[in-house]
Amino acid sequence: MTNVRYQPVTAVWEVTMGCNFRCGHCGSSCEGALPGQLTTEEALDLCDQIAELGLKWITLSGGEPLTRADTPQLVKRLSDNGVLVNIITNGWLLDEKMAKTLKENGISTVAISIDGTPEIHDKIRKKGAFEHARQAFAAMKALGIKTGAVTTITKQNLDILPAMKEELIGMGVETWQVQIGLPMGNLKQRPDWLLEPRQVRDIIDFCYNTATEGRIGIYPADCIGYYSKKDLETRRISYKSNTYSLWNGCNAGVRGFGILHNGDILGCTSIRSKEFIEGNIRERKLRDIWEDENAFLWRRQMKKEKLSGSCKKCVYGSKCLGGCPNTRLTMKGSIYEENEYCAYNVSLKEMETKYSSCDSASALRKLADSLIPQGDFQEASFALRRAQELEPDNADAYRAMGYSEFMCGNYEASLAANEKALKINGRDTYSMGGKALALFRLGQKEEGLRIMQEAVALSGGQDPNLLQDLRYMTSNMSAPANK
Amino acid sequence: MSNEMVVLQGKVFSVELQSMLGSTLYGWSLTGIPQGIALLGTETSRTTLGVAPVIQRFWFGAYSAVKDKASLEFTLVNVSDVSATEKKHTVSVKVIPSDSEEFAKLSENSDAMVSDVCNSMQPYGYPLGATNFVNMAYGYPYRRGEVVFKYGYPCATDDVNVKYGYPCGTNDVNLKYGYPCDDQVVAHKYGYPCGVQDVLLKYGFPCKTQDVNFKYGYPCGVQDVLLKYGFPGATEDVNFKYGYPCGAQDAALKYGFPCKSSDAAIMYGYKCDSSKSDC
Repeated sequence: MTNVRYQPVTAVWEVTMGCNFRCGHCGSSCEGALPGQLTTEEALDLCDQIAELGLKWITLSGGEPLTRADTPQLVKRLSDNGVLVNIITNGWLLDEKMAKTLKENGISTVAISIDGTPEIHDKIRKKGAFEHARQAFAAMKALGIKTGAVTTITKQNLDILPAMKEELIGMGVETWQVQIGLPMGNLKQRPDWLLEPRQVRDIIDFCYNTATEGRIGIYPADCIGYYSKKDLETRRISYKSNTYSLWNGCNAGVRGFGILHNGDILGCTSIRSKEFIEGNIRERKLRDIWEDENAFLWRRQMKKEKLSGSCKKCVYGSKCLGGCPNTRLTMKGSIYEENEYCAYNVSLKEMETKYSSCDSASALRKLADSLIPQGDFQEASFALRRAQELEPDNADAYRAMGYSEFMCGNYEASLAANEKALKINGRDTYSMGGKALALFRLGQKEEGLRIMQEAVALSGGQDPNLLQDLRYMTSNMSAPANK
Repeated sequence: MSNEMVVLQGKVFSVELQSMLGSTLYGWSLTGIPQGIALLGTETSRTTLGVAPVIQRFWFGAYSAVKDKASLEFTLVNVSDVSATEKKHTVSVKVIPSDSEEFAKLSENSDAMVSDVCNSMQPYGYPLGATNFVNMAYGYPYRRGEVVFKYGYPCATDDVNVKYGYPCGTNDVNLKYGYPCDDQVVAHKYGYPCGVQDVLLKYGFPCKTQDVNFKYGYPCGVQDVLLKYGFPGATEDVNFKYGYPCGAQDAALKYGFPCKSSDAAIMYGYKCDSSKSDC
């Protein structure tokens, strides 16, 4: 069976694992080229398949992609096929001649990894690396090639981001992608380099300030977020959009994929253990792998309910699905764990503790009453949870909790709260309606409908809210199943 | 009388008190406000047509969290004779840290809330009608999900927590602009008494009284506190900018919260250990 629901638009291709650097934070611990690397012929055929599959752009990385002699050929084939080609390099081999070759072969953007000011960059990467990068940028600028920088943020460089920005602007770099250094590869051996979760806020602040300055385009990678207004504004500015858009979850296996040096196809090149490899282009065509209904299931079937910790009860959970899965995998050992580098996750952790100092149930209920109309459902749920601890038999708190948890998308919690309210007052039609909706959302549609009908009958058919919900439920049940 | 409130740092909250200000000249005045809370404004509205109690609403902003409960003190004062006080009302306020305003509002059951990032408001518990426009999510078009449920939140909050008022016959007052007043004692204009010999009101706030001068609702001209745009400024040790002290020697502020101070580094409203490098 094939699955044609998903249309990929981009991919990251690690054309080689060979690298001329030994970076302290390299996520792939790259050294020499690994056996099994695709031959030029295989790689060129893959270029054709990539175009045939309909990708709009692709990023060639590694290892160091320019250590592979035929990389310019791959750029040409892809570009001739109408695919925009970006490349991420350390810049060491990117002299004037190479820049000219890439330009002639149709390169779109060349990004160089820059991880610090000259001293810090060379310390992390290789002595003389920054100067090579500077010359590479100059060569590309002279040829009119679009340039970018990519920075992996650790404690080694978090504090010098402003100085780095000035360096990049001084070199005429147009765009700057920043990403969080995760505990994988070489960085796993350097836990003291890893950021504290709350430092992600500093990154977002920095990106926001940089974006609003408008001197260089800054692009926080998908591992940075999520849903803070500063983050949204940063991305709005960077993508030159007039509207805000909320991140729709990881692209892996949905809108993009990864290709390893040996032709393995996976959702993301960072999530590369065996169970995440969906196939190999030496065995099957790229399209067959992509459209395999059993491929990329870890992503395509990801649901908020599968997550744990704070992500499981997060109001954004069904939207972001935990954010970057590689962050969860590397930080907590599983893609189903919570995302500790999420700025909102940090806030949730703080919410968990701050309400414990409140000792007035009525005041907390009142606070929740003021928060709910403002759309602060998550905060209201925390306040109500504390109110329930202080006053376990208050039906109003359960009724409000049933609503706020429902609006957070936490249907189990909504169901539990409504059932407690009904235990106190079995004829509470509001809680009956809430219970019905929670059950409906949990997939128990028949039972939900039955309870909603009961609530409507009990209210004498006079409650317009119940009637509307009943109408929705009945029409939804007769409609074709949605996802 | 007492009352308790839990409010979130950075949020606006209000206290509503009922009085017979128009007919008796006794109205609630804020007589005690703790650090970390600012009075943002006041408004008075009638409860019904005719001679009736009025609601005095005091709007506050909680701009910093406090460890312990703080108290707002209100006194029922005769506005023509501020020494004449009737009773006090205390509201105990617990201000807790919050950064909820930093994040976009969202509910999968109310996609209309996505537009909160554009500062639109959500009706009380009811999802707004869904729109069909296409959003771009990081370069990819996506369509907002339809609004699926109308799950009305029970609205039974009683905002009025103090009721104070004397029965007042219409014979005792004349109404002008909808507010009761007694021509002989107090001339009301736009709901505020004016022309009283010993209390001059300007824009609804008394001014030129002996120990506190009010201008635009904020005390000014007081010897030890100079106010600019409602916030004290030009004092010796704290300069205010946009309502938050900044540039002070021992507390540099960011986003309104002190940070990098030597004894209590606070970031995003939460205290953290300043001895740690990441604070």
